[in-house]
Amino acid sequence: MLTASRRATLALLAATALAPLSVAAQDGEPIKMGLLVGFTGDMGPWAPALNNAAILAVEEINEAGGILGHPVELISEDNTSTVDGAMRGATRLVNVEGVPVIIGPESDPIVALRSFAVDNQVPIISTSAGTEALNEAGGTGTYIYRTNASDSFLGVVHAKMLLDEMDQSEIIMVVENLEGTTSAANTFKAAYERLGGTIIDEVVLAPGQTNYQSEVRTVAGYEPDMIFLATGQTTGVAFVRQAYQRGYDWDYWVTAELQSPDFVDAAGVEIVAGALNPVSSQVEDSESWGRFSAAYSARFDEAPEPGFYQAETYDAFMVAALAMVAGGEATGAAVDANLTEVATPGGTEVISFADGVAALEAGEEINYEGASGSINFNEYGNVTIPATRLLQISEDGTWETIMMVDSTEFPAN
Amino acid sequence: MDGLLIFATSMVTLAAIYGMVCMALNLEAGVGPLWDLGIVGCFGVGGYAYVLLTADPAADYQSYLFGFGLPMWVGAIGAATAAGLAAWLISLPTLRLRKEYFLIVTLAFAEVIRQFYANEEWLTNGVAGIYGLDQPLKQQFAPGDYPYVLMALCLAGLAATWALTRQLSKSPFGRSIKALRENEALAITAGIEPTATSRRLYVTAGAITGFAGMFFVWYNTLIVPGQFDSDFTFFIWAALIIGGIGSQRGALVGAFVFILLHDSLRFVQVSGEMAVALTSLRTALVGLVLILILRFRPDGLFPERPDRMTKGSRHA
Repeated sequence: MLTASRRATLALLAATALAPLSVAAQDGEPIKMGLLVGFTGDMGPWAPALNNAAILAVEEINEAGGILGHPVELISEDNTSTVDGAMRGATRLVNVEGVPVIIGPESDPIVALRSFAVDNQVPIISTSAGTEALNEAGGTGTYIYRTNASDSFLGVVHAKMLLDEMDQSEIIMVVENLEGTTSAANTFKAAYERLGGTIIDEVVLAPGQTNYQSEVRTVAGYEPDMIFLATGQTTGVAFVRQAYQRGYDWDYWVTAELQSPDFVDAAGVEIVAGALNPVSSQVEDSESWGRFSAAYSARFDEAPEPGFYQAETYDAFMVAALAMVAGGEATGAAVDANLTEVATPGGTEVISFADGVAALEAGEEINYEGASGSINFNEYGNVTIPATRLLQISEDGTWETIMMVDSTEFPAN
Repeated sequence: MDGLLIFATSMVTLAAIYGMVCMALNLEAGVGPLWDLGIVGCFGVGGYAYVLLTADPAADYQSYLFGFGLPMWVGAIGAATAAGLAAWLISLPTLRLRKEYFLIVTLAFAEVIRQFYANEEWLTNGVAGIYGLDQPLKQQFAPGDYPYVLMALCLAGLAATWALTRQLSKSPFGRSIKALRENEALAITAGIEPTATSRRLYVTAGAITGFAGMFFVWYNTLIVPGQFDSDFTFFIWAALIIGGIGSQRGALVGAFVFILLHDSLRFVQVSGEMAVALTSLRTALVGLVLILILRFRPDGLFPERPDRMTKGSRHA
């Protein structure tokens, strides 16, 4: 009796769990897709742009006839930029709205939702989470993905560019002890050493000092070719000026913090000319970015910006929708099973939902090429940034692109 | 409808955790004399202590040293002990101060503690936090059942906190702290030692708050420094003021009303384009309700009632 009632309870619960999914499969019922980002809290200033990207994606999907004949409805939910806010937001999206997929959560929220995703069979696709915790956590079967690159991918970019393009297999690191610069330095160091480079020494600069003479002497003792400089503006300027005053004319390889005209102006062109910095970005002349950018600008009267994760969000909706079409049902399981498939090299390249559906209906394998990049998920649900530009400070003090490198094939982290 | 039930379960679970902290704060600031603006400090210490004791050792991309993988009951004791110990340390300098100054310094201490989590990577894995934490009894139940199990656990924790704080406020200790709240000079003449009594109160409330931190870890399955900023302290204070400061029932109801208010707009269905406007209304709504309550029920929904000795002795 006890087991019977227990079984009945379980059956009831199973039915409850499946109920939203079967609702979505009925004729004419809309398929809901969830966007879960921090409309309030720390992410507040960025969230409206992501919501716009989601609106644009859903409108395009509906113009192309929806998913499997059903219109798509966007359900936007606030996660208050917090972990517990993400828990309640995701619970509402899945249990009240019955969405088969959740797109958008930032680093801490998506990490917290890992078991939620598997337990509910609802894929969660981040479009802005850089956290290293996802480097090996996602992929088919885990229901966790991201369409933006990991923070550690930037470290890989630095390492690959130095090793492959500059033939620089030894380097000295000069790092200011701040959260952002230390993290950039650590990801670089890990990637550089793994790929065969040697770090001769890591010299740490304490923030806010006026005198770095002893650090300059330490670096000079190694007679370096090139210095990996990860500092903020003020400290970076102080360091390079003091080295120059002592007669050292080193080559600098700098991180993103120093890639600005201000750095050149403050330090002086004669000192920093020749300094290098790699930048990863969308391929801005690619067809898919151009198409997205034009549509976004027309719809919202403002151009999308690289670094705002609008393209990543748009792409996440597109691949999730295509995965449902490929799987033949609007369920989370279908998305998880097909998400990697619909964006894998080898298939017919498509850059829009309509083209993707047409190709799938023709029985072809497809490879969605996104606005943000190629969206080729690796086995851990991570992607790379397709292009890296190498910038150098010219003799007249401007940052010039001296090289474009295809970074699609770089390891994702 | 069933989906709504699971969503409601998630809200009740969080409200129960808030309720525990509300009651601890009520004991300190409502029944007792300590206006503590750093309650999140002990909450975080409890959470981190629990995690460090029970989590598995660090993976290769993490950097925290400990992660003892001990049973959860050890973690529970550890959470309360560590938070009580932290409270004791904080009380050493702070209890020399009068009301408003105590308030400012506790606020500062909570921020210092949060900076500690963010910077001491060897202990806490820094801003990246520690994640993938186990939830109790998770393996024994189907995933669909688990929200109810977690809610039951949190409600049990809430009930235990209710019983403990109620017992404490009815006890001679409770009468001492109430006397200190009402008139410290008079309390001293009655033989109550203000600093020692306040310290016992601060440590007790800290330990209860740390215990609640463990439930917060269960709810979130990860711990990051960002969870423990002063917003949490102000939320708890808001909940307590809504419910009625000084009243046990007020603390409980306040927590539930606050969470319901905070999430009420999640029940409203709007189009994607309206979502941005609607969510920004939420904080305004909470603020408005708080103002209305203060205007029409300045002592909260369930104001503190004067204790009659006959009633008090019945509960003793």
